[in-house]
Amino acid sequence: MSLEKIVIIGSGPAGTRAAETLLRQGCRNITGISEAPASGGQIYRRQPAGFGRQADEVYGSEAEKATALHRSFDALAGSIDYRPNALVWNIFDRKVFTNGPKGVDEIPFDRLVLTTGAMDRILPIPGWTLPGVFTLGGAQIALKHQACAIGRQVVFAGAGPLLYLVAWQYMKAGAHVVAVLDTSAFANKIAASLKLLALPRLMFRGLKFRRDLKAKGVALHEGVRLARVEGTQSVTAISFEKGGKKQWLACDAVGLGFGLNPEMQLAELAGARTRFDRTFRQWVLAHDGEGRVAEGVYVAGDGHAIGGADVAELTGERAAWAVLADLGLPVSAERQSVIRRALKRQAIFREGIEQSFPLPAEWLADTPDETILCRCENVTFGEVRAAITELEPNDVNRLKAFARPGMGRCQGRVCGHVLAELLAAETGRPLEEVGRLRGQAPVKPLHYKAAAGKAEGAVQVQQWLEQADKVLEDG
Amino acid sequence: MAETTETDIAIIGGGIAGVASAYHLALAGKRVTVLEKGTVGAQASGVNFGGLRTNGRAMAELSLSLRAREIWRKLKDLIGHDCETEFTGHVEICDREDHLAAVEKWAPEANAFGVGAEMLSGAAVAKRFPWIGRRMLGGIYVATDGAANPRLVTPVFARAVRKLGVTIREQEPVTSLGYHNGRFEIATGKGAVIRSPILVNAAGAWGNRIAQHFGEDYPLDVMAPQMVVSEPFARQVTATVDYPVNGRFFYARQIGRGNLLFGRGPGRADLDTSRASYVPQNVFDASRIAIDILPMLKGRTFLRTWSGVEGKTPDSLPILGPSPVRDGLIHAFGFSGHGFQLGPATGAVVADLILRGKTATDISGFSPRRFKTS
Amino acid sequence: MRLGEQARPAVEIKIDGKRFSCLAGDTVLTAVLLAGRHLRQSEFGDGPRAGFCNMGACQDCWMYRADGERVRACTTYVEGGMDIYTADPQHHVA
Repeated sequence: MSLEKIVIIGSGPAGTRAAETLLRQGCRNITGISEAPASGGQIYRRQPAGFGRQADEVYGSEAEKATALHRSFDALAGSIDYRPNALVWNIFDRKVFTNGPKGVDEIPFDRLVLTTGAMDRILPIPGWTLPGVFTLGGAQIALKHQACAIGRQVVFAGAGPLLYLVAWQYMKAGAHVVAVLDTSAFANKIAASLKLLALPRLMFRGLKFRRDLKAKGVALHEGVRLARVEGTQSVTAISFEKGGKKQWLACDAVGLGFGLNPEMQLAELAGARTRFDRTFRQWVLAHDGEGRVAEGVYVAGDGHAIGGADVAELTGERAAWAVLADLGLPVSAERQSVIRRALKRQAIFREGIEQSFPLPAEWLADTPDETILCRCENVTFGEVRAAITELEPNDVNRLKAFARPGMGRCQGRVCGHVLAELLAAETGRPLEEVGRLRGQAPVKPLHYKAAAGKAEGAVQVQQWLEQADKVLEDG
Repeated sequence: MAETTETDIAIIGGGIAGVASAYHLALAGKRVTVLEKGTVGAQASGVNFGGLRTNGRAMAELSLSLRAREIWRKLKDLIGHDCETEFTGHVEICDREDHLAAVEKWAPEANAFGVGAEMLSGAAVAKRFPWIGRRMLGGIYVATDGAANPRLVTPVFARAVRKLGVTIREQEPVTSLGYHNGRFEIATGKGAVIRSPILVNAAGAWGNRIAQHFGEDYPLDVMAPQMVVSEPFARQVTATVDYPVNGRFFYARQIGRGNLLFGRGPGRADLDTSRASYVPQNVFDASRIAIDILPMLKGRTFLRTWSGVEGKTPDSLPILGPSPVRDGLIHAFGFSGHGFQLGPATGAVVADLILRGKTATDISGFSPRRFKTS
Repeated sequence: MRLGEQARPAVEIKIDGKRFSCLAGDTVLTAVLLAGRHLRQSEFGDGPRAGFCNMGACQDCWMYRADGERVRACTTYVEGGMDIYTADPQHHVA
């Protein structure tokens, strides 16, 4: 048994499996923190109370896994200090800083397991900030979590497995899917098929989505180049180019995405290092092969490297075994080896996915100057290009300092990788050389009022203000 | 084989003091080389509050600060970019008798220098700055003070300086430093050797490490500004505001785009890693003060906190002047959190000292000799 | 648009002062976009915004309560009597 304080951030597939394994092996002082009101993460996000759809309606082919995961979490929730609705906004001096229903709190930890998930990877195109454009993940959440479609005539555009999955789910739910605009050519998928066969079930599921969509009359365009989301106050159409031919589709909503980016800011604040992964064309957390990233800090799931829900469950358990080993508790070599083998197959499949859906980063060089690059601060491609030419920033953090992209509310979550791609392209340098935006606290906006609530630590400040009031009253 | 470069003047430190020194020296036709261990303006010069304040300064700093104010006014003409400079005024507000008394004593003395400070009654503070959420006993206002974007100033200065022919060597830390046959010899991390009869030590928080090469040792501590920035909102806060709570100033300003910036320390910094931390307790305390003084923040959110590494002397005044032990060595470091506004004039003074051996600016309070250095 | 789950209890809220009837379990984002086409205006004059990631990551859906408090629409659920604004109700541009 161990009474060391273990904090797990996130209660999706990775966080759930980590907590379950730790509990089963005798850890008795676990705190689980989740920004969401319930467990499940984004992929197995639960419906709010009062919704009546059955699991197979919400999660489709993944209903069994979703239900199993929810059950696991519900079974353990009473045995840990579970704090839903709590945002973790900083990690400092081996303390996790949260903001939840009771305000700001500091939670010291001995060991920390980070399962922070991911968000869609976006390539900005003209018009991408118009009302009606959502990420693919956002479109999926509207359906899963709210039983809503993002519009009456929806186009899904971009690249990645989510593109076809979300389109299929919308179709099944009775929404009108106008088209799927896949920026990757069919030939890319053929070339990747051997790798995709590492997980035949997933590959055939993808083929089924395409077949079903076609059968329902949804237009599938592959190898397209997205030109613009049309409209002034909201989406009215999307234009694109295929085989040199310009096309135009009327629609009132667009789901846009090009794979996922891991959510790494908290791990960085906890002392983790990142490394550039050429295959995935993105930064991931550098760990020791078992999820260790810093002294007493462990990572799992999409938040450490994109792998999907199954990988999240596997790496969540893997991180737990690493914690147990470091605590000197018994470890199951058999489970560890099962996980390793499963992750190997998953890794081959993931490479296949990347090869099937490469990020069309080469578009950025031709993106018009007036296109918004940073949607928080309204910084355009032209302004960023001007800063690159005039002030010659050596890395993306410097570029951010000069022109403000990535300085807004999202802290560069959405545009950080675009900034790096553009800086690399404009200066002819390799992508990994221009760096990535550093994580800074708070990782999401925090109310001053919430922060001020913690000022009782500085009683003197309160006293000072009260004394000053008294002086004024007496005067 | 080491690459050896001869230059008229070598400057260690690519912060605002170093780069502005290079500017004034290059204008006089000197060959100048600036050595920067990282990138220009990345430390205290780049991460500070951006305040351009004469208000409330120590008497010893006023001569230099007023010279700086003149340079800031002409910034665009000098370096081709205004770096978001604006002169919207600075007010220090008082709700304590002792603070008000101190300010009332300061004002006439400062105005004798030409600061142009205006004493305000409590009612005048409320009328002139209706966005201040607390009643005050009074305040002191300097209309010609302002602010600039510190992330831009030093890099833009550097660009102008390069156009004048100055060599700025970035990512080149000093690895050894000596003096032979009337020349300083500086070896860098890239294997280069710079030889120069004159050396300017503008190394900021690392200034004492440079001084130590010549047997000098200054009581230089390290400090870390603690900055917080809000989400953007329609501009209400029209002047920079300074307010002391418990012996530490809370200072705030809102930029034209709408973000409100405030600071209050102390933070944590490390010279060896060049890293500074924002200490979370500061945002709790400062937010408590902020929603009192700037009540429009009450429902709003902040987006980011940051810090940087800055050198601090025991009297919070810079070490600026010729080295007491080594001819040809000029110190310009330890600005203790007030160096941004002073930067352009610091460069002018360094140039005066090198070119003419004296300066009309009163820098007597900054003499390196005020400390026992060995 | 709603595709199902319409049997939930109705909840009445106000959006920019106008009454709107939505359903228990709706997020503020869902309710406001069922009532209209945007959640807020960009601070920098580049037009209306209506959320993006729907999962609390992109921060593009922050709205206002009547007292000016900011609220993130995609992660906040409607409550009866809620008073939500697309622009700062405390700041009237002259």
